Amino acid sequence: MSLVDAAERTPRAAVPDRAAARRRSTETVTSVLFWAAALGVWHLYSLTVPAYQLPGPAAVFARMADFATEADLALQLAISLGHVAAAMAIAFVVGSALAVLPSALPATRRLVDGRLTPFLNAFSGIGWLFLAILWFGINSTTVIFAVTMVLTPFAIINLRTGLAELDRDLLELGESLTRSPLRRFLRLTLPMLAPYAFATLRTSFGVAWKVVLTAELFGGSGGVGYLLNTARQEFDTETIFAVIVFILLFVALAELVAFRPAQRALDRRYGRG
Amino acid sequence: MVEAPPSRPLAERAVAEGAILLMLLGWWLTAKDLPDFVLPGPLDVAAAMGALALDPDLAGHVATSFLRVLGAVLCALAVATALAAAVRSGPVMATIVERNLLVVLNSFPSVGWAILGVTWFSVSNGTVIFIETMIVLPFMLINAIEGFRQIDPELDEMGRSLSRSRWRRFARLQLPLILPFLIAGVRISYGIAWKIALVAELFGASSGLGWLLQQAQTRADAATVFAACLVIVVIFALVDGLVLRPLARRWSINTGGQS
Repeated sequence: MSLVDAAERTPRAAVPDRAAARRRSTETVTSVLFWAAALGVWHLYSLTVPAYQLPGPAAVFARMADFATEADLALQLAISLGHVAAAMAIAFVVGSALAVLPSALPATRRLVDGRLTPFLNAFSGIGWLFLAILWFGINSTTVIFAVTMVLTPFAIINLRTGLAELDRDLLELGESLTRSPLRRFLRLTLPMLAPYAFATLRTSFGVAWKVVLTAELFGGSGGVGYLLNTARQEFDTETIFAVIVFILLFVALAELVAFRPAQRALDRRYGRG
Repeated sequence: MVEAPPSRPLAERAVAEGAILLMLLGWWLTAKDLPDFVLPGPLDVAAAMGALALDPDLAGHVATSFLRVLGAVLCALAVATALAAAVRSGPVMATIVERNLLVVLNSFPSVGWAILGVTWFSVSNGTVIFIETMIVLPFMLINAIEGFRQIDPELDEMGRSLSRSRWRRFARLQLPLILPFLIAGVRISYGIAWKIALVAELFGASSGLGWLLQQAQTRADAATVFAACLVIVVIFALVDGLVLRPLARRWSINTGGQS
């Protein structure tokens, strides 16, 4: 599930280069104008309400500059990133194990597809969070556990779909080419699963950032969510805005420099059709 | 999904139900030796669930949460459809919505909306619905945009030659074509609302299941925390299975393709 680059899927091959370039520059101009207008409206509106409700853009940027020079924000951001990475890794491993189980033991298919996955998928993330607080207390284990439990059903569903959509003709062809199951798995099954595994990681990353702050705010003793909680208690809306803008920039940047190029490389390498 | 033909349905059923029974048994055995505030037994949890269903006070919290989720999903549906329709009106709106708004909405932390919603508006039902709407909006928007993108331009052109009324074309031609995508968006958003957007009730309300969860956690009442989670699972499964999935099947272009 590629969330952001839906726009990139429009067939563009037939459009001549000059038209494409003109379109790209229109896009840039529109984006810049849009953001200028949004900042202008934000600034004007912030003049009419008290600062604890809506601080102006200038105040927020000043706070962000403060943050950027302090080591604290970088540290908290690193802690949050650690939480996200740990949860993604555990959810991926658990999700793959559960997704592969029905292929290895067909008798467990109903258990995984009909019982466990729907249950995990319907279980509230907030519920996991409060259970984790009761079990582990306020610390990183709680945060990682809660985020992992939210991510696991996404991983199972994505990888199960990948396994179900495996090209059976290709697998059959593989059987006629080599007898070694390991070789078939490494050379055929894994490459065919790669796009789904990548989609899993990409979806997980987006969802993880949405929930990790909540988990840190209620059950964490560090991380950006913890920072938000302190700011909230002091009605320090400038800091809240600054933190949110940092998160927006960070997630958008990760999408732009890591996920999108990787997706393009994967499409080139494994694309079908 | 193309699946291999079911191997032995009876064996599968036995494994599925047997594993569930084993898990319940394991839960019961583990809980027996642990204090109630760490892990309550299945019976305590069942009793707490009964209380949630029967006690009018507690059932009220469940109903409140349900109505808020419903309101938020409908608001998000309306806003997302309008924004996605705007994307079609020209490259300027397409750039603004797809390249800028969607990216921001999609990376906005959910707890950020919760804090801002409570700072901007007072604590009320409207605030909770606002927060939940903002959290599920990107999921709905992605589906709505994809739906409009899939409309065959030639069909659209034919529609223009048949009727001049924009509204008539939307209601009779475009809407039926994008319905499968919208219903898929509703299904995803409904799930996200219960799983993640419930955070709105931790900040912006003094009622609802989210609030109940938090209260139970501060009292170390683990049975109620468990029960509230299981009630959410049941409500989610009931509405998804009885309402949303049949709708998805009915409105699907190929029968049952989207589920």
